[in-house]
Amino acid sequence: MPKKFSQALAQIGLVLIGLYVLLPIWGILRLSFDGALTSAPTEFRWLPKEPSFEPFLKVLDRPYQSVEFATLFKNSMVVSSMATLAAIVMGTSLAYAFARFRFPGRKPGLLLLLLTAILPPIAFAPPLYILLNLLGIRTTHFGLIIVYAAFAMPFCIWNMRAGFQSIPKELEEAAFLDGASQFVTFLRVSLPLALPSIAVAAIISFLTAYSEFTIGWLFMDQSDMVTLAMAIYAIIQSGSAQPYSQLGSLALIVSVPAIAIFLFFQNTLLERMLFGAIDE
Amino acid sequence: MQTTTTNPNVKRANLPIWEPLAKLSSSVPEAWNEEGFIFRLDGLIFVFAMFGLAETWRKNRFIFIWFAVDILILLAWQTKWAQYILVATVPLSFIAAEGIKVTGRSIADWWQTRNRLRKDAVKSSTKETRQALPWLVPGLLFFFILTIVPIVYQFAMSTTTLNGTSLRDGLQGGIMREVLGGVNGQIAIPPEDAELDRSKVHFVGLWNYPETVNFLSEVEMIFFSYFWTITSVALQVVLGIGAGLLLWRTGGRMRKLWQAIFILPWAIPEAVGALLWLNILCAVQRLAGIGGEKYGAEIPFGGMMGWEKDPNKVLIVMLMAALWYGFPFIMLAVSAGLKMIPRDVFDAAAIDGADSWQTFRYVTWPMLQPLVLPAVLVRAIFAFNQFYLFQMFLPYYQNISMTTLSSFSYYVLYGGREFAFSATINIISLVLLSGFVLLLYRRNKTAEDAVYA
Repeated sequence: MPKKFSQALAQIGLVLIGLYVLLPIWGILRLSFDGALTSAPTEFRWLPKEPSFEPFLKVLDRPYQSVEFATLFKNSMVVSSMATLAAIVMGTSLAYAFARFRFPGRKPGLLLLLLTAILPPIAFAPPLYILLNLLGIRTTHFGLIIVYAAFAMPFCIWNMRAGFQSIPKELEEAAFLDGASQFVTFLRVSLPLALPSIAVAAIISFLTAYSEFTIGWLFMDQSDMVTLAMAIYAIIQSGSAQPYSQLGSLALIVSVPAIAIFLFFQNTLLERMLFGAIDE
Repeated sequence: MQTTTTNPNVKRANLPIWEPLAKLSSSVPEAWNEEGFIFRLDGLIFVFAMFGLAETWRKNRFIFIWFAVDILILLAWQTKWAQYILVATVPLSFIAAEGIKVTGRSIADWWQTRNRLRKDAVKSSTKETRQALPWLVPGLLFFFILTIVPIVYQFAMSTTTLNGTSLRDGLQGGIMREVLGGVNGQIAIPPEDAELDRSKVHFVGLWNYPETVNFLSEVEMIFFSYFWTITSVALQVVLGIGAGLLLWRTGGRMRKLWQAIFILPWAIPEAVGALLWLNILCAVQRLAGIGGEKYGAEIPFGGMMGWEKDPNKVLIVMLMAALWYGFPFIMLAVSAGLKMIPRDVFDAAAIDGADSWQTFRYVTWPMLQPLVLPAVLVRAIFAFNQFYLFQMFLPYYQNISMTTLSSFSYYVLYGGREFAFSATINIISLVLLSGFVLLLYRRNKTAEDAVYA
């Protein structure tokens, strides 16, 4: 009997936590499918007043002002993937050096790397704002790519370093003994083996750039240059000019890819986000 | 507690429950008494006291209890005037003394092990350094350009008066002119009351720092950052472990489903998550104006009506959202850890007659620790840096005493265009974060050394 009782208690616990998790998600769902809203919601509802897909379709056409969804989506993809690519490509060699070689100043270097990896993105915003302005590229996509690459790079390096480090040194030595040069060994042996770690680092930095909107917003000033996520911020900033159902739809559309990736890679992502601090 | 005061000022002051802790951890603001104190070390004493708590509990329980009772009374007492904290300063000082001893001992320990390790450590060889060079040079170059240059430049900005008015001058090379001139000694730091040309950038040396630190501690923001980190992560740990254990007991297909639901908040981008909670809470807020009287407190979260005016309720709201974000991460770490514990261990505990609390305390928890502690540390860093949540909610409750350094830095930059101020705050939070780095690195070192073993 007590066993049944405790099982029922466990079920109730699960349901309560589930409700807590789902409540705000439900809130945004009902908001985004409510066709009756013309600006901010004015009353509390469990279900949409007039269920409709219209806000969704509107967002998929022109999310804000008269900018097309396709343009924003393209901006998002270009900026996030280029920033990720830049962070990965520029970071790989440093990650490899930290993983494989002992050189003077290695330890302070690692500490510095870790410190920069846990800095909040805003900590890079003021200097980048001025520096990109000085270079005259603050409002371009190239500038935004640099901003997001700067946010992502320390974390990527830290992660890829862990990837390279987990490859047995013997494998490289074997290739080396077979007459392969340092670079060929890296290209043919280490890089392919470290690909999973590199992919995870890439996913995380892509998602960061893809879903970031307030800091990027500081740098942009043309409405057709912003990313999809920044359109969310644009709608918030415009007050109640646009139906909040569209805000909700846009937020959902932006989060769906992130959610899919997280559900799929949950265990790998968990391990990576622990900064490799698990004792093995 | 109604009878603690009849003074209407108490209500008007609207001080939060944790106000005594904030006052205990900071010095008397300079404006209150300019000449009364020769030095102001209260913050430092409080920090040492935090280090000394555990040792005091072990060695001198009387002082620990004395302190705990004082704190409980201070927290429960409705009147939050600053001078009341004096009841707790004596035990605090005793504990801080213990903390200084503990700190000294651990520094000595660290030094000894360091020296011992240094003797055994494999020296970095010239051969390897030469091999490393072709990898180091391009990588360092990029790292330098993308990461180090902005930080160094930010430090340079923090030694000037750059703001919206002088931005034009700053962009025309004013920052470098002033900083280089200042470092060379060609430009003197202007006295505090000097009339400066506001359209130009000026070098002020490191004077932004004491000013900013004073400001941040007087509005209790530094205290709040740590207070927030501790309370929000503590809640996340409790719910995360709870949910992890519940899932583990459920088993089967249902488990997968529940787990997929529970990790949703982790997967949703933080900014969108803040939006979700804002949507829920603002529905309540708007109701207060429109339909509040009709529905009263019966609607969900109805008791939270008017939360934005009461700091205690603001904290509850923020914690509710932060708990939502954060617990799935801990839960996943717990789940991963539980999978690695062999079943026999629990059978053995059951045979020995351990009840469920004992099993958790002496069997489950020690085995979970290696996975959960790093997760807690990572969540603590997230909480300390928590940005979007405050950035979205601050316009509603408008109380800068309750925000993190990073979101305040954004407001200073975006709202006030105070570039130098924002840069100074960022450098200060960089310094505060380095404590977390040491903790993370220490956990990482075991794995690190193993590679070279």
